Amino acid sequence: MTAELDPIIHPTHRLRICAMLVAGTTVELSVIKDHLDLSPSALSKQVAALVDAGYVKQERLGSDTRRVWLSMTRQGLKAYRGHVAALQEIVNATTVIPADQQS
Amino acid sequence: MENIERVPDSTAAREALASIDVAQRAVRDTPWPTWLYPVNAVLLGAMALTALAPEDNRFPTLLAVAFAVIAVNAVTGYRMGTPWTWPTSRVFLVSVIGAGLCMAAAFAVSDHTGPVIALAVATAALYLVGSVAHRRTTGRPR
Repeated sequence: MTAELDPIIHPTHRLRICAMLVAGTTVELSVIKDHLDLSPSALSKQVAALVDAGYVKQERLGSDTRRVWLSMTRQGLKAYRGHVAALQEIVNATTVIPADQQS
Repeated sequence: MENIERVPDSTAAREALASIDVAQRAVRDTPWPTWLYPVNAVLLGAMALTALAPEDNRFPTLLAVAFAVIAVNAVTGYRMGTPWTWPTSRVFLVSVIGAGLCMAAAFAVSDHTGPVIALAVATAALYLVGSVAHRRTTGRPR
């Protein structure tokens, strides 16, 4: 396997958070919360792990400082893409041989 | 330092990839406010109509309307929490491209009022057709 699974991104909720940020570039935390079945404290914990790893940036933009915006860092994007590529390699490594071709 | 306890097998990897797709669609298909569709249709039609503006005013007028389109959508996107997402609806995306082509065609025939107006109407209509498809994909805002 050439690409590597990332242990920070691997947990399901963190993978989904990263996926949403990649799709949205900059996404408000409340949007992420609406789509994940996590309590606010559990979500904060997952986001904090990604922020601490340097994969996600957390900001308050403009005049409304109650709103928290998340975006992937360059390092986070690289780690995410590597993780997705590794998952793809695992899937591709399993070749299903049709029954009529099996000896 | 976190570790991966068990390397996922192909089933788990496939599920992880599927969950990525679901998560991305959820963000990209965040419902838009209903009013945004007709406002965008009118503004896009107006952009096509700027082809009728006097030549020395045409470009500034086009820029002003284009800026209004960008501003309305950016502000709305920020209010929704997803300012930079592209919808997943292919019908919507094709309609927007079609509307853009009608708009460009309006400038190609800018010497003829009738065709420009027809193309402006087509621009707005195409966008509205795409809007219906987009609303069907996303549902109403909660």
